[in-house]
Amino acid sequence: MNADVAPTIRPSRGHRWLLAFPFIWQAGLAPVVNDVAWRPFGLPFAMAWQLAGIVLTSAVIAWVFRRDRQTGVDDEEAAFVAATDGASAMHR
Amino acid sequence: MKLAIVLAILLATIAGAAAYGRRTRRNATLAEWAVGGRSLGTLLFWFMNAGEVYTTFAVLGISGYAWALGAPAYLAFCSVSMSYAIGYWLMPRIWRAGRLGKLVTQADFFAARYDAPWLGVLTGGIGIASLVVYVQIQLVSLGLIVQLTLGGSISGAAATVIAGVAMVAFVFVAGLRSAAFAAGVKDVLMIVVMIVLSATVASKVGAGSLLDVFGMVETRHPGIGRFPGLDPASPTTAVWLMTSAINIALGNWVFPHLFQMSYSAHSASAIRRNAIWQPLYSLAYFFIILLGFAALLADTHPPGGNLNAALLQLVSDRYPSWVIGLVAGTGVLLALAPGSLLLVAAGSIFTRNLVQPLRPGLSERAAMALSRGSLVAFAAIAVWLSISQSGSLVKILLDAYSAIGMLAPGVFLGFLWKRTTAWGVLAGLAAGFGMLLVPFVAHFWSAVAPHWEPGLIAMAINFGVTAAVSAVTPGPGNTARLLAGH
Repeated sequence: MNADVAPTIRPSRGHRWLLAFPFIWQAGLAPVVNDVAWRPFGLPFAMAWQLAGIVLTSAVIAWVFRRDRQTGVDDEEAAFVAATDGASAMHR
Repeated sequence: MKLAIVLAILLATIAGAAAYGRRTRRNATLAEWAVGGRSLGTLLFWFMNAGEVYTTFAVLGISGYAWALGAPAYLAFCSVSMSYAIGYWLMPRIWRAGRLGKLVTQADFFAARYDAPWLGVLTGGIGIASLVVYVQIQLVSLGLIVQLTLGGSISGAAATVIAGVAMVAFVFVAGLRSAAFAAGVKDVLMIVVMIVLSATVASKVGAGSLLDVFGMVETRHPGIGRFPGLDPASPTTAVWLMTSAINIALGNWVFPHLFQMSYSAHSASAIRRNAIWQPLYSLAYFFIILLGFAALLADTHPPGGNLNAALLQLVSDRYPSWVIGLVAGTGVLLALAPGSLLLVAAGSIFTRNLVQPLRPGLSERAAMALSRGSLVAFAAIAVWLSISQSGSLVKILLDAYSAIGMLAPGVFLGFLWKRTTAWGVLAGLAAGFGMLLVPFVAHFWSAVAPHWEPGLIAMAINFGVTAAVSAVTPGPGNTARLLAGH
């Protein structure tokens, strides 16, 4: 990935790598959990695994959202909206 | 009885949607019609998104997959959470570019970001083609529901034509806001339908409880709950799940109507907040898969072994007519609300990106008329496709994703790497479509990686070629880069 991604939307966005979570849990680990015989609540394990992945993904995104707030994304965005309200900065 | 309930649901929703659209609409410009004047708040934006997630594809296609194949239906669980994890990062960027450049369509983005109007024309054409295939999914479903409601006294082709006419009529009643309203109504009804069916289905198929359905289906068909599913020789392995899900997640936001949806939010926070909740909504697929398994236990035989009709067949075999009417009415809205959004997107792309570059002086009035006229033509093409082709909804969907995925490198690299160029995107498109469409190339890859989703391989090739060609061609100017936050 390029180092100078969107200089206007900085600072520290390292926590956003957590968004890769569902790719690892739901896609990457799918072959690994496919042969587990245990059936939680009587459900096929592969299915229960996916359901858990969905709940955890929402939790992870919520956490990233909170971190984003703390690092000032909202303020930066409010400034952007104010700057582009009405007459836009660029015309096609 | 069935027909009366379906019509009551449909007419009440249209009346409400039209009134709502009229009350909140300010002025009839193409931008208002297509991107809701960039003012949709968190709640309306949520319903717009949910409307995209809970389509007839999800309800009929996924239950049909569970009925016919078993575990491969879990694809539905992956697609939403993975898409929104990406969307959390990508959608605010698209929204920002939309505000900066006053963009209305996805092709606008390509033309502006790469400073190449011709690329806007090309990507606009690809976008419209993929939207038409997506409309086809809605029409196939709607046609099945029309047939169910009218009790088989009507041919599949006639039902599809009726479905197409209904969809166009629905769009003409109003634009984006009405569709968002209808999506809200349909979501509430969908919850009612799911509760009614899930609460009763176990007893209908002789299971002791809801969870017992899963145990019974495993006893009767050992291995159905794991990949590759019911048929041990099926190519739908865990690797298939992985590659198909990644392909969907990367392709999702590149669909023109979803790209355009990012423009319609009034703030990036609305977009992000929405991404938190949207995955949870996809837990509802649990009940849809449950119903598919129940259909299997009930020895459901949809006409012609059509797996898209498995759920509808189960309902019409085992439930009283008021439930059938409720399911059919909800199903109609499930197809109409997203279908109308797809047609609106196709019409606005046609006008802005295929016609306006050639006829720059087009008036606002003429542009609206052209958008509406062209979407009728696109609906007609989709009707023709639905009648002349048949296949599972999941298969049609994966094909649509393969096609639209070809635009993904241009979107992702456009935001990630400022040196990405129009020529790079063009070369990537050519290489990717070459892999998908040239028979001997496609055969080569299906022999090398039989369980891989071909769309994902084509997308990877496309990414590589786009990057390589971009590295050696001159990039766009500063104004264009600024649009993508560089």
